[in-house]
Amino acid sequence: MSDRCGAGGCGERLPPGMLEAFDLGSPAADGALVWLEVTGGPEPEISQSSLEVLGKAAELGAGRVFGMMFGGSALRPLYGEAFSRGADTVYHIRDGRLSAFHPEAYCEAARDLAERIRPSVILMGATPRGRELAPRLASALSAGLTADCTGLRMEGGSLVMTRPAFGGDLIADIVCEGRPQMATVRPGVFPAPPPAPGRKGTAICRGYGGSSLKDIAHSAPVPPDGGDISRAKVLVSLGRGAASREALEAAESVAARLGGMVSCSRALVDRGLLPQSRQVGQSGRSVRPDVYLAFGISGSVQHKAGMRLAKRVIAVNKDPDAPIRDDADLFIEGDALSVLRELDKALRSPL
Amino acid sequence: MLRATPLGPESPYLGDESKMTGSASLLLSPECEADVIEAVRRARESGEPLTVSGMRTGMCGGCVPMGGAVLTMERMGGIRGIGRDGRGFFVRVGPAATIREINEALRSGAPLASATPGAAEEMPRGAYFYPVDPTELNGSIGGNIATNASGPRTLKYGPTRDWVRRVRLVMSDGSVLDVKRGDRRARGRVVSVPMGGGPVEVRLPSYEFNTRVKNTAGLMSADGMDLVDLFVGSEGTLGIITEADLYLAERHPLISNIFFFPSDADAYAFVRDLRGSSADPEFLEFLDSGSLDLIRGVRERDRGFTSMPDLPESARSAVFMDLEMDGRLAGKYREIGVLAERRSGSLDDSWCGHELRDRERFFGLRHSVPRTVFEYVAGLKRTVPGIHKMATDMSVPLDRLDEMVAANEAAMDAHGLERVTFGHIGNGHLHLEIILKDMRDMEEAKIAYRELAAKAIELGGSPSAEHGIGKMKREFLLMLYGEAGVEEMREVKRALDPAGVLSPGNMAGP
Amino acid sequence: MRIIVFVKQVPDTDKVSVDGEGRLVRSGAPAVMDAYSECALDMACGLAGDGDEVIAASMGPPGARAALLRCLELGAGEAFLICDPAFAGSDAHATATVLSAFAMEIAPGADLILCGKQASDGDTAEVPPELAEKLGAPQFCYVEDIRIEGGSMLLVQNYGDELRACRHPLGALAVASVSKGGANRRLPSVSAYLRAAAMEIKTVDAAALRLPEGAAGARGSKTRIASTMASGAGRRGEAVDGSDPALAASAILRGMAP
Repeated sequence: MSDRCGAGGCGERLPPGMLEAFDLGSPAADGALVWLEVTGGPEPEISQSSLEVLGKAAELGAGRVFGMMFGGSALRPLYGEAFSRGADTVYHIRDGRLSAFHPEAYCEAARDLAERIRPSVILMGATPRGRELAPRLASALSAGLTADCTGLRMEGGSLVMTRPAFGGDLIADIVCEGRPQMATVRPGVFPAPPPAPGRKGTAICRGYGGSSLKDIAHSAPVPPDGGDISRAKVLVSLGRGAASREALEAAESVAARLGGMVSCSRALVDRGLLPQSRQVGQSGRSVRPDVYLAFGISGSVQHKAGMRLAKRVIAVNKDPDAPIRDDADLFIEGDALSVLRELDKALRSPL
Repeated sequence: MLRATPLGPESPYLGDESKMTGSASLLLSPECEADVIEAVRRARESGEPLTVSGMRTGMCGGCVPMGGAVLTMERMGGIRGIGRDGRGFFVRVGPAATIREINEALRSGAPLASATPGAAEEMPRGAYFYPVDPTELNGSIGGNIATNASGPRTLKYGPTRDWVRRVRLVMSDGSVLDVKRGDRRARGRVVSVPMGGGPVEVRLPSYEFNTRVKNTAGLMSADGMDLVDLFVGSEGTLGIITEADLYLAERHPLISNIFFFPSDADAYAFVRDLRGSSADPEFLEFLDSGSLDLIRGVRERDRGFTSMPDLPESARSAVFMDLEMDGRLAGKYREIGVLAERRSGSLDDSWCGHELRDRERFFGLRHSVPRTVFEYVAGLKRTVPGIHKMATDMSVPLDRLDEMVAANEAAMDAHGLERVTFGHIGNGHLHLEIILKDMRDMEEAKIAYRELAAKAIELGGSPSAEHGIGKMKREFLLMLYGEAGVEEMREVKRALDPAGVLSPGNMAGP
Repeated sequence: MRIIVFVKQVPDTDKVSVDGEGRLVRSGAPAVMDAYSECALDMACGLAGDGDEVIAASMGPPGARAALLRCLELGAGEAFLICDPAFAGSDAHATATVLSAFAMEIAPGADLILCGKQASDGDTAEVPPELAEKLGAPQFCYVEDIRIEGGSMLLVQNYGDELRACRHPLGALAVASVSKGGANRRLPSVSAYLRAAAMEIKTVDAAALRLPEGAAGARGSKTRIASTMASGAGRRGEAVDGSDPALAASAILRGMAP
């Protein structure tokens, strides 16, 4: 069912030997397949996290880098971008119905593709959709999968995947039994590679012949809540010890005056005080601000995993033994709300 | 070293939770007993009195200075050791230790010193706790003793007084008095207090101090009374606490419960019946229909408020209790079920939870009412700028609670006042939160408050169950004890602090 | 409708909790039901009407019975502990193998399987989609609400940037992972609490699931932990007394510029 396209679009011929080199049945799986998650409606773009993964895949030395994207012909302008960021070949599962995310259909098509090209490694950004698609695909391929990795390297053909582990401030190195080896990669950890204009590659279009489409009754963009905490330079972050409306008001005011944003630990999301997009940590976002001000955050392993990359951490907590103290450049033993209010007052004063 | 710093007019050390503000020129901050003695020496020399101050969480201005210097005990905290005597384990603490700190230290694995040989090693960690639980979590233990603080769990465990083993004080002449329970008792109403110049014979007031209800009104007095009890609840007027020993209670796993009823009267009746049963709850707290409606109102705007399921529509009142999770729990529940059904409730019309994080939700709901009242009043302020609130603090014997409730309702209706009722129903101690919309309400409420204080006294209760007297409720001492009784209290003060250097203005003192 | 809810017992990683006196304490991580499992359980109990059936199951050590007891208190009709020494060391792949065997062998014919979005002790979020694929069922992740409308379920999902509602016909299996709803979650009544205490929690082992040897546990896993090391992130710096909030605020302002 597949048709073939060249770099300039459909109709051109494949480079000779292309299919033979990466074909079925080869015992030595080779190459890295990367899902290129596409954002935006009428003018699609490859997501920032996918560019980061693409760059990392090119750097790994796992062989050729295959990109995989789903959607209609509107994606064609993105081939060049994928090549310029490190993809050698782009597989475009071309079906307008797939411009919306359909995990079952994506999985079927990706499984067919993976069985055909036999990659050694399959990578995706650990975005909500990446973390939904990857395990389904892993199951379909009987592949090992490591979620939300913060480090990747090749050791003698094996992909070594690094992620923070529970039970203490541990980092675990994980390897897969068998091939392909799959990982989702935490957004914001690896830099996106600079574009290499003019870099060429091969684009191959395939159709989707299945019918595993969801019945999407309604879809609406969630209104942005005033920015992305993973890109903020200053974060005023609230935890269980400051999980109140009063604290939130003071924090918003402080953040506004410092040119930053308010983020939080899970306690505030659970209480409905802030949306999940503001949550820092393993089940929230990973952040890397210049200054991270933690008010009333005790510092669970999950939370610290998301804020380790902050350049400077200042924590206020009543409990001198709060785990966050070990990750704070400056620790203030005191009442989070009172200090936050005073900080607000100090920033308001004209002096 | 005794730290002395000038106090500006905006200093937080001039006020407490009562919103009352005083005046003082100097803040003295001792870090050891010698510093406290030095502060007393300076006060005697200069004639500038000291007002003893803890964490400033009081409700009646007890730590608000009336001139002179504020003596803040904040730097004298610390868990100093674990001891054991015939009654059991106790913890030795500095006056600025908070109950939260004490219980964290007892629960955690942090090393503790022994106050009596081997006690810290013998005490199974996590098995003991200090059981008195004032709503304010961050008050100092010195303040708790000085005000004989209590809380919901006073129902089962009594007030602070019952748990004080020993106090060490710096007296007004700079001498140190170290006294533990059993050391010194009064002969009749006369007790001998060792001071720097030799023992001082103190004649205790002749009134009958009411210990049948929660009561913080005035100095304790009883025939043959232990000297320790004179200092518990003396509001910093007789000596400055520099160390204390507190007995500990055994910790039990608990399950939190709420029972809903279709009317306030049903809940009152249920609580009265329950007192004769085997249920033996840790505390009994009450929310009336007005309180529940306030919570419903806030939740309409803010679904996350209180982190609880929606209150059942039929619920017009609620009774909270914690029960020990032991082999008798099922039997207790059966008995509670029978009593609840008698008052149109049932075990179906209830919630329970025993995991810590669920118990935290119960705790949050129980504590949400004062905050909800505050927010309700703050909301009304936008349209009625002068609005304000006032809370009563009166306890009566449980068998007179119906009469007190009736008096509350009658007084509120007669004076045309809006209110909600909640609180420590198991101790016959309900808080009436009166919402004041204008100056007329304020004046009416003051009259109603006095009427209700008189009623509480008439019913054998106390007009100041847990907030103390401080500088704001002195008129109740007159109502309770008359001019003669107040004068007897002043006699005690004069005997132990003739120069009047300690916390002037509190209780009966000048 | 037959609903299976898979729950997980985890160590309480919120080191801070409230003690018997309602005060905040740090405690030595007791085991609790994972927060997202609570959400899934709450949703299952909310969906089940008269004649519907909620079956709770947890794969884990015998200590997971506490979580299952909680499921019974909140309205599950049956509870199963999926427990076998052969399951030790299971990764997401092996876990999905075991859970899919449970869904086929012990509770066949379910209309809906609910799981938490992820568990705080692993945070992989891999099991629900792997399970769905194994069962050949569609998956719905990040579910915030499920409504029954006529002959179908309407599942509301939040992808962070997109809120979508999908229709799924009743009678065909769907696997959903729940990401919201725990804050105001249900509490049992005392009568439900007493009823649950008298109910049985059944244990299911590898044989009952007809799992061949090596299908689960470390041998049935597709990933392996090669090594662990301390993260070495410790940057423990200066500590300052913040009992005076104003001084603390100026310390922060000074401290922001290193």
